[in-house]
Amino acid sequence: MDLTVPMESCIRETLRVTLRFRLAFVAGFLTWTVSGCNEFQPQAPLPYASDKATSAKLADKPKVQARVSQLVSQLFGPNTEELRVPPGAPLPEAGARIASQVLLAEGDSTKPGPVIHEAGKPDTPIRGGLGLYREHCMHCHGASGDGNGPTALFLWPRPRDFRTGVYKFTSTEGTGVDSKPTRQDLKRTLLDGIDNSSMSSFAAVLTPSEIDQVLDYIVFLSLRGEVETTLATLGQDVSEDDAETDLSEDVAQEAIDLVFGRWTNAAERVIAPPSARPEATPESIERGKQLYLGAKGLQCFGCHGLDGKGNGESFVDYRSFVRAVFQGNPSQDKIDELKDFAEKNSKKWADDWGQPLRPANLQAGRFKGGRRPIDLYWRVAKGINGTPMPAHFSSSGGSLLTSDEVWDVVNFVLALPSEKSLLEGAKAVELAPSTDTANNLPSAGSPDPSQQPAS
Amino acid sequence: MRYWSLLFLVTAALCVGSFVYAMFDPNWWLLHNVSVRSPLHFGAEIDRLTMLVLAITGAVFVLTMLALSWALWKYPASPGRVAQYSHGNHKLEIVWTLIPAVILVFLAFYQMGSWADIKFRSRRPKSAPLAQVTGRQFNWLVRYPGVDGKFGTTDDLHVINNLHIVKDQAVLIDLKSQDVLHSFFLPQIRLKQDAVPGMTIPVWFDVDTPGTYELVCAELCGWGHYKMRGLLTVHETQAEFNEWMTSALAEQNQTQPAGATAPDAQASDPATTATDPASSTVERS
Ligand SMILES: [Cu+2]
Repeated sequence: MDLTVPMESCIRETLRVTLRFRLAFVAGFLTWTVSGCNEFQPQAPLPYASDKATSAKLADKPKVQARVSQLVSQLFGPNTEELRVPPGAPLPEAGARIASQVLLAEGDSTKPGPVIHEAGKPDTPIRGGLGLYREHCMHCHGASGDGNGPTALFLWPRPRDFRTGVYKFTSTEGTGVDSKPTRQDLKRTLLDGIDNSSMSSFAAVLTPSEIDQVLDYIVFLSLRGEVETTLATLGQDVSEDDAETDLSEDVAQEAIDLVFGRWTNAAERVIAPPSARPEATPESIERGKQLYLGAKGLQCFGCHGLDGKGNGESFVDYRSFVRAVFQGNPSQDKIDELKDFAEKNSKKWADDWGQPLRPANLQAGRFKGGRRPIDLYWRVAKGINGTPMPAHFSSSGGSLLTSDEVWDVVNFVLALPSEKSLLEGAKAVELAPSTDTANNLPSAGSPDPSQQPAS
Repeated sequence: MRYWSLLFLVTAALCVGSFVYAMFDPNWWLLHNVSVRSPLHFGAEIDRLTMLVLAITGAVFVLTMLALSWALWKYPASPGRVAQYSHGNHKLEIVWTLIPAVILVFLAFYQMGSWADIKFRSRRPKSAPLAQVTGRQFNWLVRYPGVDGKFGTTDDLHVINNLHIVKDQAVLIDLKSQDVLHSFFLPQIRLKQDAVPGMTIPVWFDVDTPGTYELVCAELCGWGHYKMRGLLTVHETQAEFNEWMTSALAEQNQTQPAGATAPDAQASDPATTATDPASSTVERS
């Protein structure tokens, strides 16, 4: 048999293959260089993700649910990229800065957003809150503002869910959705970040104008989410057949008015301390310490601990907490025991967003809501929205603190990080039984002792 | 195919050309150096070393590329020519090993003085640290000791991503990290120092021109690495710096909402804290 022929054809074949391969390689390389590495582009605009609690309200009413979505998308735009601002929205410039283009109130035509005027340069359109949010915020806070972006899982505390309209660190009266942040509150969060969390400062990353644009968009996400929740709540009383008629556009307008109203008057509801801050004298600090340890029945140490390290008895122990946040370590033998414990207590130590949390370690001197005395006054006096940290100041008195006492606690909390010996060997103040009973006699203005919050 | 040699020659010429062009274009070249005429002038020192290394490597690059192109031109593939076996050339090998070795040893000794000035702890300014800078995912936390000159007391000034110093004054910074490796990088001063968790690392430098410069993180420290950008503000005079410090402390000690006056004056008007006016650069079209 002559082997040379197949051998030769084999070589020829190989050559042809390599030639084809080279051509393909060159062609591929050229297409790649010409097209560039395109950024990831989703096929269609991302839809909004509804809040779980909100959609659960209408779980058995698909028609009502559809009607709510229809109304919300009429008001705020159909998806996360086509935005519409309802008239009267509590946003500067009628919300024009939330995106480089917004949908007109009626119809689907768009109108361009504002432009930047700079001397000697042609006008350029603004990036708009949406574009900036997508670049800097979305990876944690999510496309819908649900606090569930791709990097959110790495973080603790978890990023905020803007849809509920509850903001932790506000300066205004009220609690939960009623205590809205002022523009200043939001701006401080963006400029200073939130210490002891992964929220970083954007002062050197964004320009002042860009910060305004992002803030507008974040408020827009809250407005939309709150209106959706309000409509879903109203929808609970509507039967499937009457979805169209009972959830009319007038009803939607009422929801809008309710939600927008909460935001519009925020600036007028800022709490100004009725008494000036006293000098942080040792006496004032000592009074604050006694209040912290329960001199007036407030049990700050119950959560923040007798040594101020955030390890109080009435709070979940550290191991269960780690287990809930980081799914624990399977090699731990007490895991089942901890599971029961965690389930039983999950209500107690979760915030309104269902995320477990820890009381602050006051010895660390790191204050999420800011370290200015006024920030700490607000934290103590009105609490932290959406968390078990309650309000401690009531102008009507009762067993809550007076304004002067709040300042004493503030002075104590500010002094603690540099004077750690303050709480060395501290014991809870034991109230004399007689005065205790007298204080706890039911009287107007004094809260029910069983409801009395641990601070 | 001796024309391949031209491709190599042209590529090399483009490389050299882009470097020459870059030197005359401030947008292409290194950032403007602001640590040149100051007493420590580390920036000038680093740039001098960088240029020396660039000159040496540039010369070697040019010579190598010329030799490569010449060899490709001179000895193209020619059908029928028989390959030759060569055992190599000892002398040549010794030469091309020794020359780079000598250059490297020279550079290693030549830069020792600069390295010592910039990094040896014994050379740090004898003054107390001006500030503590702590890296944290994803911020630079800056802490000034305040009036008492001691860190960890109630009069400390805490600012974020914001370092202020005075022109021509050698400043000492205590660099720390709270979580992972970060790197304190002042590109306009040519200063870079890793921040290592658990360590306090002294960093010192000075600046010759007042202004605002970048402070960035130069160690990929997580998904928010790029957000770790701060500003270094250099004041003309100590008085100007003190003024800044006073106003920053006043802000940190604020006891009333912005715009409201102390309650004793009975004039607190929370409404003045309302939405501040839209940024002046943005107007409706
Ligand atoms: Cu970093």
